[in-house]
Amino acid sequence: MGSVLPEPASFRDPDSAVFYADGRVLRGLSEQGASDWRQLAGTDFFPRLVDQGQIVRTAPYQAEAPPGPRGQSWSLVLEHERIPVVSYPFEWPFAMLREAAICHLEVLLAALEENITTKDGTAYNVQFVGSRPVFVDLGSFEAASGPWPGYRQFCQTFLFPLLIQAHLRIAYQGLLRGSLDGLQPVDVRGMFGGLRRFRRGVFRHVYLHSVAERRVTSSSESVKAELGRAGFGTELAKATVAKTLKLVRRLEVKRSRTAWSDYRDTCSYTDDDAAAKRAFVEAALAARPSRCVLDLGANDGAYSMLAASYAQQVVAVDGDEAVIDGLYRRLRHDGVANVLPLVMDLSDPSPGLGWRNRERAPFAARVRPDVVLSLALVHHLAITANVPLPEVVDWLHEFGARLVVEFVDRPDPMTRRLLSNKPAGLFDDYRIDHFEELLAARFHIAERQVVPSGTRTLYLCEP
Amino acid sequence: MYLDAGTGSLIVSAVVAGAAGLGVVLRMSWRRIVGFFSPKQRAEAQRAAAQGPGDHDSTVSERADAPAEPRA
Repeated sequence: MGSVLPEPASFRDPDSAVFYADGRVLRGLSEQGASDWRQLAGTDFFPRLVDQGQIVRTAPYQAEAPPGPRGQSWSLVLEHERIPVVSYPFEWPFAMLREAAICHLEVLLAALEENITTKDGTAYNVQFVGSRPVFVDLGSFEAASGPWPGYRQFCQTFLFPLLIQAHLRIAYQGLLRGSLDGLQPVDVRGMFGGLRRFRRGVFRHVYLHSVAERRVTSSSESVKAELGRAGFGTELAKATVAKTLKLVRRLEVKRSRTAWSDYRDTCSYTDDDAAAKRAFVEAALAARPSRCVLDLGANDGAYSMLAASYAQQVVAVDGDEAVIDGLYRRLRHDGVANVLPLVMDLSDPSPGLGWRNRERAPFAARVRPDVVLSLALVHHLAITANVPLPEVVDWLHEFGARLVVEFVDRPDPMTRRLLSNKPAGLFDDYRIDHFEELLAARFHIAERQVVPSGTRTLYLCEP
Repeated sequence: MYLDAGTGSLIVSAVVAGAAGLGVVLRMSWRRIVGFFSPKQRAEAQRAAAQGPGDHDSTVSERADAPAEPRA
């Protein structure tokens, strides 16, 4: 057994901790945790939902169990199936967060049928394998008694973000990234002033929640006991979850067209250019099987979908929530399972967050691509975001992967438009010969092709 | 005063459950758990709790020992 690495996010629960050993994802359990696991393994719902892909596949680890990274000795060790690319709720568009919420509640509802609950309700209990949500926090299951203890966390990390996006068109990604605990009831109440508090789901989950939080001052345990005395049992917990599930399913976002969601209609490609570009990218992808393709600035995901036929996993990243949301819905509709769409501003990617900035890893530490697509992206970083061209090429090189990159030259209508918003002379080094020098200093340029209109050039580079 | 934010949530989760849940909330002993009192009443309630032999929970809880909820 090689080195044992702790999962930095798994330290709060003394009965259960995730760690990595020899590339395996293991979970050590205390005596209590092992007892909870045996109860879980004996249920009907657990194997059923594992087979349906809603709960991460898990089995007792057969080999000799290594001690925990903090010296813990385990009563039992489990092995989980690995999640190909870890992502976080603040990187998910509306439809993804809603689907993750539905997954969490459906798992919980099935568990409650057999008198088991989840001890928390955070959005970080769910991960995506490609476009499918999967519940990963096996340590969360325990015997049910009284109200669902995860309700507040569910509100803060799932329901409140969905409500403000659906009712108020407020993007939640920045707020979730700002606090791993999610949105506080009192803050969300402030967003639903006046008659807005009567929008669907808001009065109970937000308004009452905020009032109760301020008024009820005794301890959780005493309130739990008091609710128990008044007759709160598992049936009522089921009703809470079922009603919340019904609400979540009905939430939908109203879209206005953003600058990008009609991009395909207005961008400066001719049909010949598009066909040539597609052929170049497809040839590059087909040349060698790839494990993980990272599509930077994926837009509507046309090239991610193309890559999906040639790679095990594709990660499609774009800063526009509306287009990534559209892409996710299309993936689900078309049954494309191996593309993970994420919302992220590439000039401000997800940082390390939480305890010691390690609990949630920065984006670059979570994705290890062997192919990077950077199509119609460089001019946005170099001109719109003012990132110096050498920095852009350094960043692309840091992925350590093959690179398919497009350079959109100065005469191109799109580049002209971006340059017209900036003072003259600021981007004089944005030139194709300079870009090629920078590429050649870091990569081996294997192929180069100018698209028919002559203003865009594609490169295939080897690290 | 530090409030345990999870406390109100438990009650709201009962209200969310519908009519039966609302019934449970109404059957609860509200005097024990709600801080609806004026400062004077609250002080009296605290004195009563300190003197009385009953197992009343204080209406004012410091909850400095509130455990952090597991996040994942």
